[in-house]
Amino acid sequence: MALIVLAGAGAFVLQKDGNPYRTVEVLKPSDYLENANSLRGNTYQVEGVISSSLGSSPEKGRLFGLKINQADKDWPLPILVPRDYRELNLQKGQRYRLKVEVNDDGLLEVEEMSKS
Amino acid sequence: MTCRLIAAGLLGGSLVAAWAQSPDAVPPAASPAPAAPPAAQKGFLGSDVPAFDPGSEVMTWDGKIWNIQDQRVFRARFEKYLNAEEESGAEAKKYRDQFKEMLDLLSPAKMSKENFRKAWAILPSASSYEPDAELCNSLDDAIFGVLLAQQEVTRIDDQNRSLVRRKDTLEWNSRFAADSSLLGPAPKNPAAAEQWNREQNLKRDMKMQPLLTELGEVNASIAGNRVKKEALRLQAKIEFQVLIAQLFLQRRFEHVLLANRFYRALFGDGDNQLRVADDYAANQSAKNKESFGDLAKLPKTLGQLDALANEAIRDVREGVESFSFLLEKSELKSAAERLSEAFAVGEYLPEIRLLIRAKKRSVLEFTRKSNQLLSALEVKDYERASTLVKELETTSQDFDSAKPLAAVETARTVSALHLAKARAAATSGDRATLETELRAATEIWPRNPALAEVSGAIFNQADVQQQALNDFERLHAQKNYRQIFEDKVRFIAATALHPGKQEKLKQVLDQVQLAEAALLRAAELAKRGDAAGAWESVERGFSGYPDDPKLNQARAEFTTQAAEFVRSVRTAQEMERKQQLGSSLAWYLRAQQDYPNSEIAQDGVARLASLILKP
Repeated sequence: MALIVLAGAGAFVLQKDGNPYRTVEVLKPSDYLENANSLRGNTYQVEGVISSSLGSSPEKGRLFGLKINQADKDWPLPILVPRDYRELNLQKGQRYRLKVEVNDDGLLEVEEMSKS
Repeated sequence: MTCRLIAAGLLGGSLVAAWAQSPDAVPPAASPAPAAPPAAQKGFLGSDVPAFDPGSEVMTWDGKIWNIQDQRVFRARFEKYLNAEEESGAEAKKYRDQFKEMLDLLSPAKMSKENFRKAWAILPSASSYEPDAELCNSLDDAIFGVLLAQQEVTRIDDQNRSLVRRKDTLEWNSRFAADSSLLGPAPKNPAAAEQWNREQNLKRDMKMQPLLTELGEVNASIAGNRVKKEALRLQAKIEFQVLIAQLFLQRRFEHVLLANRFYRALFGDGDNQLRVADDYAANQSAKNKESFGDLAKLPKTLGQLDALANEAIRDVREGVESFSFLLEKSELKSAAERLSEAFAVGEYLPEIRLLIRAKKRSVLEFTRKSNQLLSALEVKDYERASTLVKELETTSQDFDSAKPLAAVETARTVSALHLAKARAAATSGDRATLETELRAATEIWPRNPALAEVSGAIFNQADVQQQALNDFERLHAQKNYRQIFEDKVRFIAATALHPGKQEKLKQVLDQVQLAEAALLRAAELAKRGDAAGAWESVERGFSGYPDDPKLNQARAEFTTQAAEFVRSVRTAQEMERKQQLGSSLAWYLRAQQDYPNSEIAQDGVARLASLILKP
């Protein structure tokens, strides 16, 4: 019974917040714009709307522009969606919450993602 | 033939004397020397005497050639004569009358001591006429000299007569002395008789010795006087002959006739042999020959001189008649030629001197223009020559324009050919050929109007072209493409023959044109309030031509107006340069967000995306 309660409480909490990456630090777009290379290897969470498709490659995946709103300001940032997520149907205007890592090229490479 | 030789004989020395000029002067091109010079023809005056060929107007003498018409001094003298008034005044008439009277008085039919004295008395008066040049005075002096010599001869004759008388006396005395020595009885004794004979002979010898000595002296004096008399007579003759020869060489033919008649009156011995050549020619100096002609080449008798003088006078008379006839027919060329020939031979004869000025002036213009034509051809002024030929054709019906026109046209054609080559060389930048061809054209026709025009144009063109090339190189080194663009017409023309420079110019012009297009587009966008678009337009032009002041000015202006967008683009570009692909792409995306139409941002995004997705 206690386990059921805990599970229910956990499910409640999860349902109430809805952010699966709440433990991951939120990316400050200004820092990224300032010097992305200095952030390499870090993992961040970002939330935004897909604003444009910038290109795709069978080997590397797809490149999108993700518009992040922070401090009442839109920050378009490039997002590399690896080929592992090729089954996902990503479209312009869709809002996603993403867990990203700043890769060796200074790009935000998606590790996990979910619609928000 | 005879006429020609006579004319030659007449012309020889006096022409040389009167016209002290270089006989070696070859006749100019307009009047080429004849194929067979008259000197080659043999005549009774010898092959070396002056010979005048009326066909070619060339006189040959002593291995030298003159063209009568072409001699400048003669031309000037002839023109002076054509302008001179005829000698028809009272003084001239008196002079002519006096000459006629003297010749008449001394004619063989009327010859007498009285007439001789009358004629001689006229000479001083005739000498006062200025054109006579006091030649009658010289003749007067010569006659006086002969008379003095004759007086001396008379004195010698008188002396000889006395000597002969003395000789007769001495001979008689000698004979008497010889005979008288044998007078008286001789001793009977043979021995005494022998002694007596010896004494008588001694006495006779003593008496005759002075007589015989004096007789010898008298005989020697008589013989010496005879020699002296002959020498005096010969000396007088030769001196008079020298004067006649000199008059002949001076073309004073009337004086020759008059002097001849005086000579015959003075030396009535029938000896007409001209001893000038024999006795004087051997001692004639080179300078004298140069001035007065070679006396050795004169005729051998006074009769010949007389005949030649008469022939010359007749020839001149015919020449003047021919001149008058041709003048009536408006054949000025032939008329001028006949008159110039007659003038050359008989400049001092009445036929020439009495020719009225109006007639002479009618050919003066033609002669002057003919002379100008010769001068023009000599100095290769073919333009002037061409004009003169046309004028002469209009003036004279018999003017033959073929020769001068042929010379003119040939020179024109060849000169034009060289000029065309010079032009071609100038176009192809072949300076050596250009100079050679221009020089050749100049030598052929120095005063060719086209020459100055063409050479001026060529050199101007060359100068302008070179200057433009220099300017282009300087501006290019300064990267002042805007100035090159402003003056592009000049530089396009200047570099037309230089492919390397042409390519450089093309690049410059393309850059500036792109910059201009960018500026135009920026201005248009700025008008619509699209500062970012205007900046981007200028920026794209700027990348191709960063030194253009106009672009720089516009760029600075629009940077202020679209500061955010410009910052995004510039940061994106900076990041891209630093290989910060993510940041750079983010900045390009931001720029695109600020100005969606931005081609710079679009290109940057595409370029970086391609790079990022590249396997």
